[in-house]
Amino acid sequence: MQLRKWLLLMMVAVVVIGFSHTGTASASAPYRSYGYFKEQTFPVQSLYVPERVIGDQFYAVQNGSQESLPGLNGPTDLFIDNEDHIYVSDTNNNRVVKMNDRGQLLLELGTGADERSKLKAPEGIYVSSNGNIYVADTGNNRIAVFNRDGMWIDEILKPGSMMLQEVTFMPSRVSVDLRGFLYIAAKGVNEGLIVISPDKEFAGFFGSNKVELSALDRIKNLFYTEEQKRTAIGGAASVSDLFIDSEGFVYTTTIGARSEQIKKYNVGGENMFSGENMRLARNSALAGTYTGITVDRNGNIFALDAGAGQVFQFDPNGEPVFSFGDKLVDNKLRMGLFGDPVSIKVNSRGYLYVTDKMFNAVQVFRPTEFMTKVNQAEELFNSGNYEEAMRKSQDVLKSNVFYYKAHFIIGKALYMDTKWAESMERFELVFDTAGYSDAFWELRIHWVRNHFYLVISILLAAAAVYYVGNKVIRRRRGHHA
Amino acid sequence: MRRLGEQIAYTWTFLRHPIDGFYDLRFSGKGSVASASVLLVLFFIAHLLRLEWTHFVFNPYRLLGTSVGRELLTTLLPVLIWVLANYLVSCITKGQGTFRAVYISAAYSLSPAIYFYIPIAIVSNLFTNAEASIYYFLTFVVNAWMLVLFYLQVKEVHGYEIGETIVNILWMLFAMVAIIAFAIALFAIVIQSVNFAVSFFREALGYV
Repeated sequence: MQLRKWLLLMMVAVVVIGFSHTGTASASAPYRSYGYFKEQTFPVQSLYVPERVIGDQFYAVQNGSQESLPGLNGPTDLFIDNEDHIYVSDTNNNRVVKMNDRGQLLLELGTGADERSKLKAPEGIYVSSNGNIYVADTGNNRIAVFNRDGMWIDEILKPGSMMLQEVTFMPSRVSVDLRGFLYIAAKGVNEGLIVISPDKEFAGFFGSNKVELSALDRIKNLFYTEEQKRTAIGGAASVSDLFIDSEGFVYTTTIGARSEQIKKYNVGGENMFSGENMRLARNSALAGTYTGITVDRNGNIFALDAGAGQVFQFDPNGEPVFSFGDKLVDNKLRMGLFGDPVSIKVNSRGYLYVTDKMFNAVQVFRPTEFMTKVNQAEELFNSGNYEEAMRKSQDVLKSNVFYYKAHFIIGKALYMDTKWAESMERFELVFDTAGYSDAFWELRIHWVRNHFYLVISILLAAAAVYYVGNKVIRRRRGHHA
Repeated sequence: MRRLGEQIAYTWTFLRHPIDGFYDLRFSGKGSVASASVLLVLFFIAHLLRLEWTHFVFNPYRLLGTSVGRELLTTLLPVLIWVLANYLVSCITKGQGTFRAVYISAAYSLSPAIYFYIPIAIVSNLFTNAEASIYYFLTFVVNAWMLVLFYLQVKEVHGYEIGETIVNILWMLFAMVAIIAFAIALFAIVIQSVNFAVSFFREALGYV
């Protein structure tokens, strides 16, 4: 209880004084950052600051002289491999580029002389752990595979399945799961992701989007002919991005849906965010248009809301945690603001990369000291180093008392340290009933163990009082009768 | 004052003998409008204290998650609408109860909550998630008990047969929905006409 009062006081203090804090922070970032907790939104200090823009132009050193190469033109998908190298599907240049985090061109795919390696408006890219590069070669209706040196090695065409007979195979995103199965988001395919086995056979659809029917549509459905239905009633919303994390969870984003804009499928194909409305932004009619999704090592989800021009961070359970970003004003390019952002990825150091069709480049965002501390605390916690995680979390709380996850981590650490009463206080602060219940269970059983004789005496005394009381009442009734 | 105290204390006898209780409330002066009103207030207080005192595990937000006005709208107002609907329907279907009798009996039917909401809330402080089913079962028993009392209320106060009672209860529930819908419509019309009158006179007087 004491802690709760202290927190309330701090909240007021931060709201009153803290705005100067956010004010100074926003000098380096041209947008505001927000935190979320239990359906509440509050401003927080900067989480990410714009670091640089890369890929807008490339240079190649040939015969000792520097030569300028065309920069990105209409970049779409983005991928970051284990060595923090960046791959971009450069759609309008019909190529895929690989660059380092400084924006130096390392490799160019799809521009070679080999006919089979030529790409046509590629929109999706995935790099497997052995370095093979999978390109969703949208214009050529195939998935092209290159090795780590950029040599064409294979291609996957539309599998000859009855289910796909009426589909024109235009893959826009591709990813590969732990077993080597390909998951493909294709244009105009509403049945879900197309799954292709390692031997290039069609293995089924994965996680279909439901068709959302309004009340009017239902009435139309009753009276319209098949012909009319096809033109009048909208189909299912389409998948815009897809990501598979190291544990095998499949994440998708969907455009044009009123709920479940972000989905997290477990291995059984069940959406863990089922029924949730993941739209948080309210600044535009297009808000909730998620075009990109990625997941960091701690399971935190980063989703890019292109309609609102904001990046949202969700925790592994789909609860919103942070957001930042804003749209360009009057389409004047300014580093850090979004024009037409498409895809988002995070590298091993927590830097965020966003492709932007209006910038024709990739924007890089650096995590602030606060954000780095948050990530470190989480990483320590996930690796089971509770004591260090607690120390880091307390450090985090010094710069932001609102960050509920820090309280949660401290609560868990105290629980592990058998300090149950203290951990209950932390869980109470962040309304975590499950953690609180566990701690209380321990507290209760230890109390009973330590006061065993007291408990027995109370039980015996209660039994005695009940017995004697009953007798007295019975005797009195006997008198009255 | 002493009489009022006795009437409120009668709830204890009422709980053990509800069928006789409904008769005595009406014909033996065991309850009055005043005692019924006190019981309604006690019921509301018991409800609020339950929210505040229930263990964190079962109700983490306590009273923070709500407001007195909202609780009034969701607990006491439905009871009052029930009384009105009950009386109106019984007028048509030849029930014997007066409005006074319906009001008093409805208030007394809430007595399980008055007696047991607070003890259950206090006992819940010993429970963890592992014993959640016990807590929910206890709450269920009290609520089911009240539902049975409301059934008996309709039957005994109006002197219906069992079949009649069930049909009447369905009509009363329908009447409640109708009353709420009517009230909302009336509310909207009043607001609209006030707005209209205000803007009309503003324009007429040239303020715009």
